[in-house]
Amino acid sequence: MSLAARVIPCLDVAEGRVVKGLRFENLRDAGDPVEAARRYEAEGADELCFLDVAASHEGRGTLVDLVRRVADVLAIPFTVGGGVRSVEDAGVLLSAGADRVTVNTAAVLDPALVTRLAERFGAQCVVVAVDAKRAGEGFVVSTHGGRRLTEIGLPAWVAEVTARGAGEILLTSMDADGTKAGFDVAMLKAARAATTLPIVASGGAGELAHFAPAVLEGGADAVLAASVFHDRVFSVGMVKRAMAKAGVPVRPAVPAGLEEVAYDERGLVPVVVRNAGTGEVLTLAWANDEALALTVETRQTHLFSRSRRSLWKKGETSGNVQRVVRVFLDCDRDAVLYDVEPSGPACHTGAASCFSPISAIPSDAAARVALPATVNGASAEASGADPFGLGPLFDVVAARKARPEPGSYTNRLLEKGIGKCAQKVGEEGVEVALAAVSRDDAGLAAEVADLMYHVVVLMAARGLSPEAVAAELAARRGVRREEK
Amino acid sequence: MTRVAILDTGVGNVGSVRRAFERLGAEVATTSDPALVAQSSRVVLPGVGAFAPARARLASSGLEEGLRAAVGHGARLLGLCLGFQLLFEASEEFGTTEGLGLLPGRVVPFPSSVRVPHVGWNRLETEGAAEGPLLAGLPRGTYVYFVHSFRPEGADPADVAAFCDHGGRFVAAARRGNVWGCQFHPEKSSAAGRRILANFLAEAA
Repeated sequence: MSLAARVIPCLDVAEGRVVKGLRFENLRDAGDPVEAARRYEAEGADELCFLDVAASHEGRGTLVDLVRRVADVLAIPFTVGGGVRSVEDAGVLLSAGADRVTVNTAAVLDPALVTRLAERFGAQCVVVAVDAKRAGEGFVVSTHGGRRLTEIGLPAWVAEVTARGAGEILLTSMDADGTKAGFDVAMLKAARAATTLPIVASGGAGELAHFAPAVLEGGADAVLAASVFHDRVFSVGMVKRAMAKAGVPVRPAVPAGLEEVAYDERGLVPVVVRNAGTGEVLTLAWANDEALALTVETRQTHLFSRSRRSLWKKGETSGNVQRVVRVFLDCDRDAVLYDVEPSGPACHTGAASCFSPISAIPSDAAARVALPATVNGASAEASGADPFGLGPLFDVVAARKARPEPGSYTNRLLEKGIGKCAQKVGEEGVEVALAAVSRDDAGLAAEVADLMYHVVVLMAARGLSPEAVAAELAARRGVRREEK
Repeated sequence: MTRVAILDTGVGNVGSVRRAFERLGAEVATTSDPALVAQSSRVVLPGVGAFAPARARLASSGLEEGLRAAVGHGARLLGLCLGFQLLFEASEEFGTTEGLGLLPGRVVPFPSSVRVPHVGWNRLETEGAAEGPLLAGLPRGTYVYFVHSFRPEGADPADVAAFCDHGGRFVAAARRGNVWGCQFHPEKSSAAGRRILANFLAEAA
C-alpha cells in the first residue's frame, strides 16, 4: 500500500482572519487565511484544516464566506471545524466548498450526531475531533477546548465514533499541545488500537524529528501542526523530507514554479548548468522532480545520475558546490537552466566546464567551440573570451591574499589597505593616459598591464568577485542587443 | 477559451470541479441541459455518491443522450471519480447496475483486506500502462487524491493510462479515444491535477 502520510497545516481562524494565541486566549490577528492557504498548497501541504476558534453564532456567516473564498483558490482537500453542532451547520460548510467537517464537543454531547452526519454526507466527510488528556494510566476525552474533562476513556470513545460512522479521527493531545515537545505517541497508540479509521495526530510538533514517530510508532495516517508552520519555523517541504528520510511515505512537495516542468517518460528533464557570472556553459545533466525541488529550496545544484540511478548534489564529494542564483524553464517546459556561482571546477576531470574543444574540427571552428559561449546566443568573442588572462591573474592575487608570501608586492599593497590600492589605480590610470599620447605601443602596453594588475588588486582588496564585474558586463551586452 | 460543460448530476461537489477549470481559464457551464451538452467540445461527468441513483438520473434527465451525442461527434469526455465508474459497462455496488458502457470493464468492491474507503494521496503507476495525453508531462509516480470505495476491473489494457495500488493494482485513469476518465480527483490533486485538467483542455490529444 502506498498511501502517503499526509501533512496538514492547521489555521486557527476567527471572524474570517487567521489568529494566533494559545488556542482560545490572547488571540492576535495573523493574516489572511486565503493567502496562507495558497502558500501552504504551494509548499506541498496535502490538506488544510481550518478551525474556527471563536465559533460564535454571529460569526457563522463570516466562516461560510471564508470557506467559499478558500475553495475558490485551493486545489487540495480542506477540513473545517469549530462550532459544528448539527447536520445543517455541516451542510452549509460543505456546500460552501469544504471537503470535510470536524465535530468535537457536539459529538460528545450527542454521539448520534456522528451517525446523522455520516448518513447525510458520507463517512469520508465526517472527522471527529477528539481532545484527550492523560489520566492516571490511561487517557480521557475532554471538551470545550480541553477545559472540561469527561469520564469517557479515549479508546472507548474512538471505538464508539468508529461504530457510529465517522470517517476519520483528529486526535489532539491537550497535554502535548503547545509544548513543542513532540506528539504524544502513547496516546496515539491507545487510539490506534481502538479503530481502523485514519488518525490525524495533533499537538506537540516543535521539531522536524517529531513528525515521523507519530506515524511509525503512533500509527497515525496524518500529522497536523499549526504554529510551526505559521511562524515559519519550517516549511511543509522540510517536514516531508524529514519524514521521507525516516522512512515514511509522503507525497513529495513540489515548490511553486516547478509544477509546469514537463518530464520525459523516465521522469527526467535535461538541465543546462551555466556560470551566472561569465555565461560559460558548465554542464549538461539530468534532474528528476526531487532534484529540482532540492535545488530550488537549498539553492545548491542537485541532479539525477542516470548511470547510478540516484539523486546527487553537485560537490557532495568534491566540495565544488554550486550556488544556484536562478532557475529557468524552457518555453516547451522540457528543459531547465540553472544559473550558478561555482565554488570550483564543474567537471570531474578538474576542468572548469565539462565541455572541451573537439580537436578534429578545423581551427576556426574549434576556436569558436572552445570559447565560452553564452546560452542566449551572444557571440563568443563578445561574451567570454579572456585575451588578457585576467582570470588567472585574479587567481594569483586571490591566492596571495589568502596565503601572503614574504616579499610579495601584492601583499604589501593589500596590507596598506583599500585607500592605497585605490590611489595606485588612479596613478596608473593617469600613466595610461599619458602613454597613449606620448609613447609607442610597447610602452602603452606596459602601462595598460600595470593598470589592469592594480585594478585586480583593488578588487581583491574590496572582495569584489570577477563574476560580479562579468555579470555587469553581460547585463550591458543584453541592454545593447535590446536597443538594436 | 475552451468551453467546458460540466454535467450537473445533482449530487456531489460539482463546485470544486468548476472552480478548477475556471482557474485554468476555461469558460465553464454547469448544466443539466442535454442540448447544451450535445454541442460542447469538452464534457465533464463528475460525481460523488452512489452509482445506481446517479445512473438513473443520467437516463431520466436526458443528460445521457446529450453526453452520447457529444461523444459521437468527437467531443472529449472526462469522467471523474463516480463519473469515471459510470463510463464502464456495469457496477456491483449494492447489486448490479448497468453503466454507460463507453469503457470495457466493471466496477467492483475493494478486497476486504484493505481499508475502505480508499481516501488520501496515492501514487499513479504507469508501468505497463498505455502512453497518452492524459498524464502528459507528469513525473513518474505522481501522487493524486483519491476518495472511493469501489474500483474498476477488467478494463481493456490498451485503455489504461495509469494504475494505482490499494489492495492490488487497479485502473486509476483510462482513455479510449475521446473518452477520458480518472478514479481520483484532479480538482483536489494540486499541481498534478491542474496538469491533467489542462491536458484535457488542450487542443491536440
